[in-house]
Order: sequence, then C-alpha cells, then structure tokens
Amino acid sequence: MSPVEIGIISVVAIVVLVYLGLYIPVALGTVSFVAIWFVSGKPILAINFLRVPIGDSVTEYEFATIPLFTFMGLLVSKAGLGADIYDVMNRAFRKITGGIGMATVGANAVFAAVTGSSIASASVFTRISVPEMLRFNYNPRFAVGVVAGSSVLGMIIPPSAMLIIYSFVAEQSVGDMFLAGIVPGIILAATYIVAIFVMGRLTPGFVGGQTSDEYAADPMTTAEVLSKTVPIVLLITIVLGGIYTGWLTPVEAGAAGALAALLFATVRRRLSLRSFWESLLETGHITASILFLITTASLYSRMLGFVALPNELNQFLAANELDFFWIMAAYVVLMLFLGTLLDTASIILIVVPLFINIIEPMGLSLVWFGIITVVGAEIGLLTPPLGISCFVIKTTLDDSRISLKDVFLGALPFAFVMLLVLIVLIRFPGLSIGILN
Amino acid sequence: MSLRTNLDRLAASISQAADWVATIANALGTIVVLVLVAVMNVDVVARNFFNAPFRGVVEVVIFSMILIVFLQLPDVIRVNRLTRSDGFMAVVGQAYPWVGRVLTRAVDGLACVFMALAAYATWPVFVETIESCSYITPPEFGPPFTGNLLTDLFEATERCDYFGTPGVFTAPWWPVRMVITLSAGLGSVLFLFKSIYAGRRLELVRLPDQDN
Repeated sequence: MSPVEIGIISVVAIVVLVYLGLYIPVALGTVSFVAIWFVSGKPILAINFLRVPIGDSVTEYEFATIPLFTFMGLLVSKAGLGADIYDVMNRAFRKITGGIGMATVGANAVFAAVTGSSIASASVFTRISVPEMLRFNYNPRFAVGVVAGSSVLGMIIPPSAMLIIYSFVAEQSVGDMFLAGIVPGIILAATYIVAIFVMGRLTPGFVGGQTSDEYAADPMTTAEVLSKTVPIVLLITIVLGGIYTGWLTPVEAGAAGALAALLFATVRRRLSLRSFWESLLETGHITASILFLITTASLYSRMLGFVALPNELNQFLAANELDFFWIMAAYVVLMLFLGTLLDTASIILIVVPLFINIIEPMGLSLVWFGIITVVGAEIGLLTPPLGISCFVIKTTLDDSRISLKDVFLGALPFAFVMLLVLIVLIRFPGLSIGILN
Repeated sequence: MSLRTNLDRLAASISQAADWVATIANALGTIVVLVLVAVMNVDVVARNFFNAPFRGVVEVVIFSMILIVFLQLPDVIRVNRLTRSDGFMAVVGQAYPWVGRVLTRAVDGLACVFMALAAYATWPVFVETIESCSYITPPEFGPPFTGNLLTDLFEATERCDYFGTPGVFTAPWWPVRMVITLSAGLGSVLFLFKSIYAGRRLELVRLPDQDN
C-alpha cells in the first residue's frame, strides 16, 4: 500500500471508530500512531511522532483563551444575564406572531457575545424560553426548534471556542477570527428573525402561539431595563471592544471578562462559594478535554503531512481542474455528512488539515475559510442522528410530551436557514473579513 | 476468602486510589485556573493603568496551561467527559446490551493502550530533564557537591534544563514533564479499570466503611 492509501484509510478509520463510540482524541492519536508505524515500518518513529505534540502543543500563549472564556461563560450563565436579556427582548417583540421566538433569537445573539459555547446557550434558553412559549400555546416543535437553531449563535458570535480551535489548526490570530465572526453571526441572527416572521405568515400552524397583552399592564421601568442590559453590554464592550481597539489581546480580554463576570455574579448574590468552585472545576474539565483533543489533532495533522495526503489531494484537484465552486460544494457536503456523526470541534480538527493546503494557494483568506468551516460544521449540531444541541435540549427539558424527534423536526427549518446563510458567506467573503481592514 | 474475592478487593482498592489521585490532581489544576485569571488581571491593570507590565506573564500563562491540562486530564477521564460521540453505542446498547458492553470494554481498553503509549513516549523526556540537573550524580560543570543537602539541592535545581526566558521567568522543566507522564499513566490506569468493570464498578467500590 502506498502512504497516501494508508492516509486515506486512516481518515476513514478515524470516522468509523468515532462513530462506534471511541473517544475522539484516542481515535485521532491511535490511528495516526499506527499509520505512521505502517508507512515508516519503524515503531520508534511513531513513538517520536507521539512524543512531540503531547509535550509541546500545549505551549501556546493563546490557548489560555480557552479556560478564560469558558470560565467567563459559566459565570455569566450563573449570574442570570441570559434570562435578563431575554426578559427585555421579550417585551420588545411581544406584539408580533412568533414574537417569543424572535426574542429568543435576539437574546441568544446577545448572550452569545459573552459565552463561547452553544451547549451553554441551549441549556440556558431551554429552561427560560421553552416553558414561556408553551404557556402561550406555541407549537412545541417550533419552541424547541427556535432554541436549537439559535443556540448555534453561541459558537459563531465571538468569543467562541470553535473559532479559537480553528485559529490553532490554521495558525491564524484568535483576535482576527473573533472579529471576523461578528458580522456573520449578526446576519444569521437577523435571518432567523426574518424566517420566523415569514413562518408566522405562511405556516402559522407550525409556529402557533398567541400575542399577549400581559406585559402591557406591567411595563418595565427604564431602571429595570437598564439593570438588565447594562451588565451584559459592559461585558461585551470589555471583551469585543478591547480586542477590536487592540487595547487587550484576546487572552487579556478573556481574563478581564472573567473578572467582570465574577464581580457581577457576586454583587447580585447569585454565586455561592460552592457554585464558584464548581464553575472553576467545570472550566478545568472543559479546558483539559479541548486541549487534549487539539494535542492529538496535531498528531493527526502531522501524520497527514507525513503520508503527503494533502499534497495528493491538491494534485488530484488540479488534475481534474476542479474550480472554486466544486471545491466549496465538496467541502460543504463533507462537513454536512460529518456533522451528522461528529461534534463541531472534531469536524474542524479532521477536515481543516486536509483542505488548508488547497485553500491557501488559491489566494483565499484563511480567516474567511475559518468562518465557513465553523458555520458549516455547526449545522451538524442540528441534524440527526447526533445533533448535540438537540440532545442537550431534550435532556434539559425532561418533558415526555416532547420527543427527540420533535426537537430535530423543529430545528430542521433553522438548519436550512443556516445552510442558506453559509452559501451567502461563501459567495461574499467581505461579510466575514471586511471588518479586519 | 477465595483468591477471586481477594483479587476483586485489591482491584477495587487500586481503582479507588487512582480515582483519589485524579480528584486531588483535579483540585490542584482548578487552583491553577484561578491563578491564571488573577495573574492576567494584575498584568492588564498594571500595564494599562500604571504602565508597569508584569514581566514574564506569557511564560507564566504557558506554564499554567500545561499544568491545567495535565492535572485535570485524569479527572476528565474519571468522570467520563473525554470527548466522544456515544449515540451509536447508546442505541445499540439498548437493543443488545451485550454488544454495548463489549463495545464499552473495547473502547476503554484501546484508550488504556493509547494512554500507556503516551506515558511511554514521554517518559524519556522526563528522565532527560531531571538528569540535566544531576541531583545525585556529580555535575559535569559548575561547582561540585558541597555536602550540604539543601545547598546542593538548590544548586542542582539551578542547573536544570529550564523553561522560559532567563532574567524574566524560568522554571525547571522536569516537574512539568513529570506531570505529563504521570497524567498519561494515571489515565491509562483509569481506562484499564473502566474496561474491566464496564459500568459495574459502583457496587464494587462501595465498601461498607464509606456509606456516609
């Protein structure tokens, strides 16, 4: 067997093993180890290949963004900032059909700017927004679908764990990736809101619900609105403002954001010593699992380089004169396919090393490519059989009237909207990278 | 008591000891997270408001990242939070419980082998970095041993292969290398017991004196 064939078999083997339930870092590491052994015939070389990334790939300053933003996100959820912003949004949209749905999307978009994880968004908004929609007779499928669909904003709007992961694989600056994520995130949120409006008009049965004048009798005072919005706006200003003006590096922005979130949570008395420790513990767990994943993914990408698979793929594309359109079409289809099985981080870590050598020589921006990758891979959060956001919602909801199938069916229109936005983002790179100039 | 139950007990206590070590390492790693937040904020404030940057902050951050990851990794394994997608396993396990069990054993067994390989691969680096200090053997350069244990210990630590930038922040490499190797080794042990017990271990570990 030629090295390239072994490489192709390895990639397939990783996907199959992960599907069978093998830990993703173990799958990446073991298969890469065996592949290097087979190709070189020297087990000692494979051991050396294993040693380097384990010792050295964590030694990167910007990795510190992961624990810092994770910690900030956990504190923000505990401080109830998500529920606050939802409250305000809900009043703004109350007169429109599907209004609570739109409020959920809007609140999610704002909340996403202070958390880096879709899982956090999904679990917070399942608890606050789904019961509210059910109370106003919304279609349960629509209710859970909105939460699932808008939860993906958490990983597109910075700070985002996925943008950080991509920036390591592609060796791009975390700050650039964050800034590039802002406009696409806003576009996606706006498109969701328009889509809900259209669904409310064309398929009112799917949306359901009724408008309410419950709030009219109980208007929010300006002071209340301010106390519910100022903390989150302040946090966004510190983090994104700090990075945009260059006043803070992404790592510093994460630290400052974490401290500010800690202060808010303490002042509002929403943080006991116990839940503070739990947040720290959770931060450590998430950091260790993401970085171990990145470590083994770096072994995998070294293995790909060793068997020269990316070069071969490049030559194959050149020989067949495949142009931009077909490469992108293939890339999106591949991500959608993997998205049905794998989680977002794994998709990014598996496909980016394969494609990056094709994208760069074409003169395309790797920052733009990162946004495409993250949005494309995130669609998988919504698609069966393994849409993680949908699982989180089902588990958090714990309501036997709503099945996992309902969640998936409800999320489907939103997955479709994501695909449309993805196509727009591919067609118009300026939407992502315009902000950097 | 039969040999079988004795073995069972031995295995259960080793498994429990491994869990304990993982939990303690996890708590240490958690404290490092807090240190990281504190150090970064001191730097931001000192640099922007007092124009006095905290020298060596980059080194401290990198150093603490390695510690966070490898101190917490065993606990991540212990509480089953290592990244995986177990949807297929759950579906199959429901329809055919024995297939699910075999699959669990195989997966954890393979993970055990991989972590052992990682420990084996990183072991020589640890040995090399600790030998660079020549704690026991006479040093190849620098002053010879004085006979005073503490003085010699400090002298030796000065000689170690170091991490960081001289004059800003340096720390000997070996403690970090040791954490990496031990972390991988402990991970391997934890996976071994997961594979052996395959979900049954709660009953086994629950010895009578721990019911509180």
